[in-house]
Amino acid sequence: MSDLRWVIWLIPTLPLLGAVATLLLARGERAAGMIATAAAGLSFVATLVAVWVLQTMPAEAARIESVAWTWIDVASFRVSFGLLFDRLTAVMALLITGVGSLIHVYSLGYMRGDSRPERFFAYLNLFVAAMLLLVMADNLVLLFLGWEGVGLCSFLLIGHYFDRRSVPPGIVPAEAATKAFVVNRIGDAAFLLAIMLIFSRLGSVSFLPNATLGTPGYLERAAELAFVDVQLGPLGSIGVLTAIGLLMLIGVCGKSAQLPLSTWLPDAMAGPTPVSALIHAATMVTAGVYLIVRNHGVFSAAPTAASWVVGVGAVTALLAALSAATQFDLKRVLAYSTISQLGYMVAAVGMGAYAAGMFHLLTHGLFKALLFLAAGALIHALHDVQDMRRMGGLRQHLPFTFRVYLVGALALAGIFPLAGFWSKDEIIAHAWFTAQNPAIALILIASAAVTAFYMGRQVALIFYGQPREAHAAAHDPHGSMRWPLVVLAVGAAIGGVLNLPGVHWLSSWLEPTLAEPEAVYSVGKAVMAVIVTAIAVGGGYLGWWLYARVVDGNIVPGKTDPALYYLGDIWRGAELGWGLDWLYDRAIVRPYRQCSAFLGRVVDGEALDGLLVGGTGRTFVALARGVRAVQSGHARRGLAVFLLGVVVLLAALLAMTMR
Amino acid sequence: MITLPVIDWTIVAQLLVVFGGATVLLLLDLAIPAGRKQVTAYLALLVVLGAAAVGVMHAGVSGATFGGTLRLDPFRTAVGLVCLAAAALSILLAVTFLGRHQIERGEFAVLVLFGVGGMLLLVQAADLVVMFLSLALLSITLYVLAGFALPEPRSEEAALKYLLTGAFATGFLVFGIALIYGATGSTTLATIAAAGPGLTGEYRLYAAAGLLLLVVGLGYKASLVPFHMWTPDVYDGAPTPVAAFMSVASKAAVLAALTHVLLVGFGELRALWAPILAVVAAATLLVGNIGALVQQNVKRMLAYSSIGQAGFLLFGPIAASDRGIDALVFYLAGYTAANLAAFAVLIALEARGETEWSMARLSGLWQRSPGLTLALALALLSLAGVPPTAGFIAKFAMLDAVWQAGYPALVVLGVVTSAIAAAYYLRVLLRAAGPAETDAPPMFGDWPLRLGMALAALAIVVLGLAPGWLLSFS
Repeated sequence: MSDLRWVIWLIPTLPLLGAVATLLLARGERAAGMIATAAAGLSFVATLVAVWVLQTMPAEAARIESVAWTWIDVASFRVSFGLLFDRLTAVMALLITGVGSLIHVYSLGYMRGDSRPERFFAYLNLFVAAMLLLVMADNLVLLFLGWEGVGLCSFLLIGHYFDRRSVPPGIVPAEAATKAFVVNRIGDAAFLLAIMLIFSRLGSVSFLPNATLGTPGYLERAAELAFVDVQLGPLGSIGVLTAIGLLMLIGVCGKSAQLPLSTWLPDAMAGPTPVSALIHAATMVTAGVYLIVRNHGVFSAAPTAASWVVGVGAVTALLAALSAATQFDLKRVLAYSTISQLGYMVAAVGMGAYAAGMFHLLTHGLFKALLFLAAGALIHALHDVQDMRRMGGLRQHLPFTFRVYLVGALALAGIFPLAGFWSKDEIIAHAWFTAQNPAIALILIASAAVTAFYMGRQVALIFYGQPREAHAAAHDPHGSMRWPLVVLAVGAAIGGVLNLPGVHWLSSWLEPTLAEPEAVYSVGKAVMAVIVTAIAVGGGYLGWWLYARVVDGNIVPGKTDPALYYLGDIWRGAELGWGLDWLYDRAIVRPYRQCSAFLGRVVDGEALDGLLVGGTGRTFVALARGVRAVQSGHARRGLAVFLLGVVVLLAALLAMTMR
Repeated sequence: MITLPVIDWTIVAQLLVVFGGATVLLLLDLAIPAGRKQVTAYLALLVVLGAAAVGVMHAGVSGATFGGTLRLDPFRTAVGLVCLAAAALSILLAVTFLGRHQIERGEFAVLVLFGVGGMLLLVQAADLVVMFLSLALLSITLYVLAGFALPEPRSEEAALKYLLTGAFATGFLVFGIALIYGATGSTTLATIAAAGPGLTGEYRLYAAAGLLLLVVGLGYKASLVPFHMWTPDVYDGAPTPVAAFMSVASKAAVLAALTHVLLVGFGELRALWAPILAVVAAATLLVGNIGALVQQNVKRMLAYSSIGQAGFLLFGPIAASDRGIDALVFYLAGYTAANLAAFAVLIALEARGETEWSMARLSGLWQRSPGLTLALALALLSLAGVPPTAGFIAKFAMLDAVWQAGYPALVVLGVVTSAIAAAYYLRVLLRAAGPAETDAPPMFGDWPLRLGMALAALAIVVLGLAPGWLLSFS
């Protein structure tokens, strides 16, 4: 079926055209929403067709490569504008277009009455196009274009309410957007260095050998450099692949909000909730995980870098989970939870559990999108209340929202047999049995317990206990906001079938691309799964019991958490995101601003502008006054100057000839 | 028995067309009734175009006639075409201006023809006496043209100042020719050049002093400092189309003659004249560009600017290379287009009885006429040397030429004064883009004016974007 290969170009092009059409043609909310949703939906259909084409190919050669043109051609630096659609890309593209389409549909209802719907839908489409480019690029430079494209869309969409001074819980959207952009930029700079290092040491930026351009693929060459070092002058030396891996890890930390660059994601919740669901939960933030999986050849040959990846992922998983347990803002809980779950994925792919990482990426995409959309439904029902202290007892008012939220929460908490159970358990099992790293496994198990705890807490705060505020008019969503929730709830519930032990569809689907040995299922793993589930159930029940039964009556809007009493400063630190914002503010932002103020006021204002520029101007104006003073307009003055000039020139001539 | 010299008519064909046309037109004009004098102007335009066509036809011709006193070569043809283009555009700009100012007289076009004839003669001259003759011819027509707005006192004052300076300078010129003749025994450039190596002692000094006086006598016409003092007063007082014409055409002709004298006649003495001319060029750049900074009168500003541009033009002979000659031709073409476009905008905004051409009258022009503002912007940006206009390429080629010739200081000075120049050019544009300050002056947009302005603006852009057909960078 090779004649259908061109269909892969439709996948990113359709949403791009959708974005352009929405911006140029659409007038009004309905038209914009329809165009954008149709573009996303058609892109999903195109992805399905492409996956079907892929399915008909033999497993060893299951990839569609297509080069549109030579993008950059400078000496040996040759970059194609080409797409690569292999089984890994297929998984990502299905998630992006599938969940993306659902969120587009949901947005039709959610954004009703918004003042800038055309812009919103155009950016959403543009995001889908950029994200697809990111996962479909056949080389790092084109991937970087998508990488920056999603960053731009993230910036634009976080700042969607740029004209509002503050959105709950007290975030300034314009500042949050800038923060996300700047923090990401740090990661991007490191990623760029990684790309340059790859080109200079491996001679290519293409993932696979490119027949059209005649460039080799760098991935297959990576292993050759396993013991080659780069010299860092007085700093010593470091393995090339280690350097590449660590630089990439910094890029991943930016995009996937891992410590210590995680601070932008909680503030990114200033964007509209569908944006949080699509960009800041299901897709964009998983780009870092995809990047590591795509470069698995580099990381498997660079054990030092890989262990840093695991460490960062595991620590992020635990610390962000603790932060999530202390938040009162509905979306902030989910934001920290996203950081934590991304930590799981990063730790997994760092350990070489690529299939497990991708599995968790998929199930997380489903249940976190569900949770965010359900949270959006809540926010809608409560008229923009996001503070969980002002909720409580809502399960009678919002039975549908309660049920889908519960499905999402249980899936996230890893309760059998929902999607999160299977994927999270696989990561923990890999850490314990395959990687044989009990410390990481224990951290991840502890994180799982905390995850269950904060979801129990959240469900209890929102849906159980006493209604702390009257929400008589609250009603469940309907229409376009309702059925995406149903679809996602079904996905979150049964998503585990994608990679059930013994069936492992996903692992075998990805096997030709990742060349990862098949997971072995043992009795030990089953026992482990039972123990972890028991811990999760315990944590979840504790969270629910504590907030629905024990401290229920002491929760007052605007007051601290009554449970703070039990943990003290640890609780406080977790609530503030471990003080990273505080540290960055003191260590970077304020000194930087003071330095800029000094440079602007003193160096630029006084010295450069005042003395140098202004002084030059004043000097020449003074000289010009002199010229004008000589120019009296009297003919005799003119002739006198003339004569003087002749005399001086003749004297000069005489002096020169006499010499 | 006197043998008549064999005359090569192709070399004098252009001169014959212009002078013949001018003479016939002078007679024809008698039959053209007052109030229909535009007809004379259009006929003169035809004559100029005819001469230009002859010039284009003979583009590749090189040769001499009349005993080697008149020459034609590609450089002379090119500069002659620049002069003719300037004359044609000036006539277009003047046609309706004269009627508007009630000074529509037939002599105008005829004088322009005689003037441009004098310029062609000056460009083609290879003999000092012919140069003197042609300079006198073009000067006298320009004196009359400067005072053409009779009985406007400012115009008469301009004519008188110009005449006084001209007479004064001509004295030096003649004295210079006499000294050179005394030293070398000839007034023909080729013979002078041949005599050069044999000059020793005081003969060498006489020749050098004569050359210097010759440079003075020609240079005042190109507004070289310190012989520039007449320029602001004359440009300011003369009718605007006349100022436009003399600011570009006579400069081109004089620069060509200077180049011939210096490089053909006195190439031997280059070690003497090059440093002196470099100092003159530096002074011209500085005084012109600095003087323009504080001018509130746009015509005076343009006068100072044209002094500054003359400093750049002098780089051509100083470089004394093919590169420099190419750059000089290109600079003359670009400068002509830009300066005429700038003056065209002033002409379009000048009603009768205006005395002071205050910069305030340009304020808010963008809102009233984007087209005029665009032409003004192109003109001033080209004069300032901003890409992608002709001025940028011209300045670049000139700087390249003097750099190659070993004058890095002139390069630095050229760049610095260009930066100063940008200040006063952009100030005018800033006014034009800003809000209106005074009562909006009337605008005139008749087709000859628009055509002239459009052609000049087009030349700026075409020369800027595709300089290759006039200038080779090899």
